[in-house]
Amino acid sequence: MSTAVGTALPELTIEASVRNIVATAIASRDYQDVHHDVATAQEKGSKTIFTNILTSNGYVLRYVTDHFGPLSVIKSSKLRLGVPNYAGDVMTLRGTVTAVDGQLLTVDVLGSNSLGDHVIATVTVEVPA
Amino acid sequence: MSDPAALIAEARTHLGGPPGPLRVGRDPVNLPMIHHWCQALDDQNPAYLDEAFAAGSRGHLIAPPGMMQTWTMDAPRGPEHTGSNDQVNRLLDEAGYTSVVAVNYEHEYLRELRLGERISVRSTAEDLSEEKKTALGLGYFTTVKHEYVTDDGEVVCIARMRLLKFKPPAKAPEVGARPTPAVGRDSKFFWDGVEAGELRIGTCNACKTLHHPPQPICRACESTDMGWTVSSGKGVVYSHVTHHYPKLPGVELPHTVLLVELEEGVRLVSEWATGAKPDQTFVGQQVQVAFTPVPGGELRPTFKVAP
Repeated sequence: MSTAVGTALPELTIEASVRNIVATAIASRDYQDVHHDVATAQEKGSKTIFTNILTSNGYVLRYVTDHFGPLSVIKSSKLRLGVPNYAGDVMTLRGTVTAVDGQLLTVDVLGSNSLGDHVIATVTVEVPA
Repeated sequence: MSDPAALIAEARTHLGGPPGPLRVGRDPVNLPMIHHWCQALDDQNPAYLDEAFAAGSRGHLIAPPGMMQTWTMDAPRGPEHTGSNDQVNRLLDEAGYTSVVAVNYEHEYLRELRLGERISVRSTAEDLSEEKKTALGLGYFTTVKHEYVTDDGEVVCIARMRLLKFKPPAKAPEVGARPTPAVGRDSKFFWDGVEAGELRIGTCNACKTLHHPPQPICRACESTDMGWTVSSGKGVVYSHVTHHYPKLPGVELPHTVLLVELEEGVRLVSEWATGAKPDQTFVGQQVQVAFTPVPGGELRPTFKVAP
C-alpha cells in the first residue's frame, strides 16, 4: 500500500439519512434534540436535524483506518467544522497523505456535502511497517 | 444585567483555573456500546469487535478512538459546576452571549483504550478571544481543554474544543399588518389620492378654506360643497412624539409620530417613510411627502427629510 506524500484515499460517501443521524447521535450518547427532533431543530433555526460532531470525527477516523487497515493506530485528529450535515444530504469524504515521518502519516481529510465543506480535518496515523 | 465588559474581564480571570470536579464515566469501556457505535457508523474494523483478529494482533480488542467523548458523554454532574470552564460559560451567558456553536474539535490520542477501563474527564478553560464579528453574530471564541484519564490517573487523551459563544442577532419583531383605513364618502378622495401619488387636501369650493382631516361641512362658511386640492407635499415638522407602548398592529416600536405642517397651512399626523427615518427629529425640520408601504404592504402618505 502506498503511503507516499500525495497518495489519495478512495472516496467514501455517507448518506445522511434521518436514521443515520439519529442512530449515530444515540450511539455516541448525544441526546441533544437537534440530532433527533426535526421540529425542535427547525425551531432553533436549522433546516432539519444534523450530524453531531462526535460522529463527524468518527467518520473521519473510520475513513482513515478503513484505508490503512486494522493495525493502523490513530494518533491525533484535528477537525475544523463548517456547514451542517443535514438529514437528506450526502457527505463525501476525500483524503490525501500530506506528510510522512517514518511510520507516522499525516492525512488531510475533507468531508463535503451539497452546502459546502462540513469538516476539514488533519489526522495523524501510525501504520504498520 | 451587569456590565458585559466587567463580566468578560471576570471570565478572563478563570482561564487556566482549576478544572473542577472530575466527571466519571457512567460505564467502563464496553463491548455493547462499541457494537452500537460500529453498527451506526458502519465501521467494520476488526480491531474493535473481532476477538480472533484481536488475539492474533494486539492481543486484545480496542475501542474506536472516535468514541473517546462518548465514554463520559452523560457522566453525572454535581449541582455545583465550579470548574473554570463552567465559570467562563456562565459569565458569557450573563453577558448575553448565550448561543453556542463548535468550531474546532481536536484530539490527541495518547494510547488505545481497552475493554473494562473507566474513563473520566476534567475540563479547563484555556483561552478566550477578543469580541469578534462573525456571520452568526457578535461573539467570543473559547477554547476548552478536556483531559481524559483512567482510574489510575493516567492521561489517555487530550482534547481541545473551540466554541463560538455568540449573541443571536435580534429578530425583527413580528408587527403584523397596519389596519386598513376606514374609507367613507367624505374621505374617499384622500385615499384615492394616496393611490394616485397625490396628497389631496379637502377644500371648500365656496370659500376655498383648506381642511384636514376631511370633513363634510366647511368650518369657515358652513358650505357642504366640498372638493379638494393637491398639496405640494412640502412642509415642516410642527411637533413629534415617540410611541413606545403599548404595541399596535403594524407599527414597529419605538415609533416616531410626526405632526407635519404643510406649506398650504394645514397639519396632518404622519410618520417617517420606511427606511428614511433620520438620526434626529426636530421641530422645524423640512420634510417632503413620500408614498411608501407600511407593514402589510398598503401605501400611506409618509415623510422624508427634504433634500
